[in-house]
Amino acid sequence: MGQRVGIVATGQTRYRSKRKDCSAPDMVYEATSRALADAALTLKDIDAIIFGLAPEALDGINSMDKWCADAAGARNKPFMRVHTGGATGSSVANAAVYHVASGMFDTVLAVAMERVGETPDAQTILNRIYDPVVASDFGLNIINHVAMETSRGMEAYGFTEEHMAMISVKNHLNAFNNPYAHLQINVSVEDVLKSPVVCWPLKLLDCCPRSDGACAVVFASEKKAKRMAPVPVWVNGMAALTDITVPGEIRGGQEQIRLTAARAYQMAGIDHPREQIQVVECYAPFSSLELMYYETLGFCERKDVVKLVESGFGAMDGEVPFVPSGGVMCTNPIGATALIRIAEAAIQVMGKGEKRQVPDVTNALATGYGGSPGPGSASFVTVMVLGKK
Amino acid sequence: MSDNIELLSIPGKWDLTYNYTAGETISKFLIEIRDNARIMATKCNQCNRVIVPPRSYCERCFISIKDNWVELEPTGTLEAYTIVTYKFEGLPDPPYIIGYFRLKGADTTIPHFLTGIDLSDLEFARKKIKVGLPVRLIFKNRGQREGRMTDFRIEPLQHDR
Amino acid sequence: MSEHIAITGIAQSKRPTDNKNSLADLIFEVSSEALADANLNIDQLESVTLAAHDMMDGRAITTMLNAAPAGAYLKDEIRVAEDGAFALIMACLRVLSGHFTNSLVVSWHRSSECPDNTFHTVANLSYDPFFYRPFALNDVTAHAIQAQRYMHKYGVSELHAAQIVRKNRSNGVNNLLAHLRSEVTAEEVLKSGHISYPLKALDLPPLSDGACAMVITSSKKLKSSNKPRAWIKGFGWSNDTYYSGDKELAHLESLSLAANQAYQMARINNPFKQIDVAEIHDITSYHELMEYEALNFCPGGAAGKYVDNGSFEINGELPINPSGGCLSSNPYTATGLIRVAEAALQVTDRAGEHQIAGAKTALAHGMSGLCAQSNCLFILTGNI
Ligand SMILES: [Zn+2]
Repeated sequence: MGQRVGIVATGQTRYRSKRKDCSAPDMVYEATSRALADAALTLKDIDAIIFGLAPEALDGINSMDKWCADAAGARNKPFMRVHTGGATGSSVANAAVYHVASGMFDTVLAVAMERVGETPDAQTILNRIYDPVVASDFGLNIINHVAMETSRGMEAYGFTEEHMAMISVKNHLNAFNNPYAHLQINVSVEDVLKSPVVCWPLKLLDCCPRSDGACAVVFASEKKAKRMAPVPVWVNGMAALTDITVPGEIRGGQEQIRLTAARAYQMAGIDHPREQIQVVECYAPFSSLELMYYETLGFCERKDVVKLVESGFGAMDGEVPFVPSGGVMCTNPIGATALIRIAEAAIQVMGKGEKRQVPDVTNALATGYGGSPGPGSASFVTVMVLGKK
Repeated sequence: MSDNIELLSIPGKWDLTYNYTAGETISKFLIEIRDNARIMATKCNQCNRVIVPPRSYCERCFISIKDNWVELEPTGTLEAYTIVTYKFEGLPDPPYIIGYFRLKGADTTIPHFLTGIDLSDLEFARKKIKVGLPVRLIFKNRGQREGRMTDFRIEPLQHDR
Repeated sequence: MSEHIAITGIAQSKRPTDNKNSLADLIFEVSSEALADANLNIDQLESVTLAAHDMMDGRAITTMLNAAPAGAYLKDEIRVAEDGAFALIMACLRVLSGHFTNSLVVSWHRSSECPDNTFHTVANLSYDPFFYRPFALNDVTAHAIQAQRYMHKYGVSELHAAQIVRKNRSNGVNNLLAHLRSEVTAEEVLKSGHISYPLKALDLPPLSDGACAMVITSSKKLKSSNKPRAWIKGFGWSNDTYYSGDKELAHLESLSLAANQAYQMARINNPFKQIDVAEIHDITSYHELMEYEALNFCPGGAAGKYVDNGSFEINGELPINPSGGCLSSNPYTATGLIRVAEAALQVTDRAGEHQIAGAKTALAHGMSGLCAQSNCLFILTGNI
């Protein structure tokens, strides 16, 4: 493998359902400048920029990366936009690692954003991700796909709507500790179960919000990283896998995540994730998806998932905290979301998590998910292992 | 800058025309539906998968399977479903059921609405719908079919009336 | 570069594309052909990099539907929303990082699915809704302003631009894959009617259907074979400000920066002498003139004089766009990757009827965004 690559800084905007206070470039600037400040860098230190933006129909501007390039400090610098749907943010991070590992650049800025608040209903646009000829007539969107996956999951894993509600309660509680989180609301199991059904078995409080926001992460070569950050965070393992799954099959996303994690673990030398990883920022916009990660990321067998949920395995005081940030369920600016997972995982390794800090983190895990099952359609999964060593 | 500055936004609307090309493979599939009320799939002889809606290639073996057609029966099973109870802009009025259906002999599934279920009582309806539910395709009459996936509906094989 | 990268497989879609093929079919065709050309089995493929634009494809996440026909099943695949040549940059970085030894690179656009009006509307929607969009800027009008500025600054005439169209359309006749294969005279260009001054109908490229695929392989993993291979000796890319009113429109600054990077890597100090053939992104005839200067093929402001001297004709000192360029075929997103494919064919003596005899070093250029905001550059050779 080429050069070792480290994360030296992160920057995030405050997430909101609509950041009425700023234009799209303003938002990018907010995240970028905070990332630079995090390691006391200036734009001069940045050799190249990779930009992430998911479907631009959500933002109402074609190739909006071009408009935001100046705000990312990309004038007269190498710049390109990556877009893999919901996995955009983590694909941007992967691209940044390749930029550095290639030996062509020392310091690279990854910045990703979305203004989901610009469109009245994101799911109308997300209906148009499906095949226009054979699949677009059936009202498909991400929520009803996940609803189908969840109903299959309930049979396969034996979890109930109550178990999903427990995850939702935990994540909403965590979000109070994250100064950037979009939703900061008190939620009880009862509240979740009584919230309106969006697509059975998903209820409103099982679902993520639509957020405006941007996130930036600075990656550097080994030599620079050691100089730039008191605690550089090393990218020890990373993998991405595109799968063409058969919609409706439980194999779908679950098997893809398992395969991707296995590759990243192998690269990072992780053979017992439950012992070796202290915190997980998984890409779970819906409560049901998070508990399935317990199995697919190798923390337990399928039959033990329910037991783990009931015992508070993923809570802040649990064995391995999942999404101390509140996760995607509380903040989802689509193109930035998977980069936020990596930023939050890096923050945990750096020890900068303040109220959301998990003690003694040496290895943290971040995942990304994009696309959707659908006829002939692809989904994109990424897994990154970050470490102190 | 003052704290209570008026914050503006301006409306925008995308109204764009596209013409999506079906191509030979999908055209044949849609024409078979329109003219003969038949569901045709393509089959990969290397991995033996039967793919519907058909593709001209197998993405796993990465070979062309363009002319290898098989006919499927108009029956199958429900693989996964949701009952939509929320009004999405531009999408149908709720409630409705979207499902993925595996036609008999197929290795892939098709999305469609599940009809023939009384949705006036959603709790009751939910109990009646199970993964694995046998279904059948019911085609519109000849003159009404236009070569779209909506030329047929899907409903449970057994109707309890 | 820490190791050498070879272009081992090339495929371009055949003309004319017709409605027998869906977009996915078109992509599968070039992807499988490029793999076959590289003699690479799908199981041996490690990486896939794609370039496509959602709004131009009319699909909200176009790679969700088109990753499968591009060979991405259970592969590490990534997509850039840029000109196709940027996907090749991503592929090169992935191979240089040591994480992968090969990559398939695919780009496409199907103009026939995206009517002219939609194309221009989407181009207009590329502008911010507050300051630029309300003023009818799109791919034609914004480029017309740039062309006008260039004429004003350097005294280049409409005839100079017309000569570029004449040259490229005449070259396109010999390219069996070109979309437009008919000659036009400079006179016809001048009389083709202004669309947006100074751009006339024939100064603009057609809107075409097409796809292009390429396989690259690290020299470490190359098996011996007698097949000629193009080697990537250098590449570079850069980005200018979005605010086209805030830059000197007549200077393609980001192209100059990209060229500096690529030339340095490939040890080119006199491009006009050292490069035997170039395939550049002639989004309009005027842009080709501006590119001569940004690429340092001639001094700033001297493009017109070099055109008068015939330097860039098919039999000139540095033939530019022997394939006919973008003015003969323009499958939007794929255009830059086609430039690289054509340059690779030239240095391996595989360009057929538009082969430049003895071409050893070639330059290829891709462009993203309006008013040449982002540019990338490749230097290819036939031997290491
Ligand atoms: Zn097969």
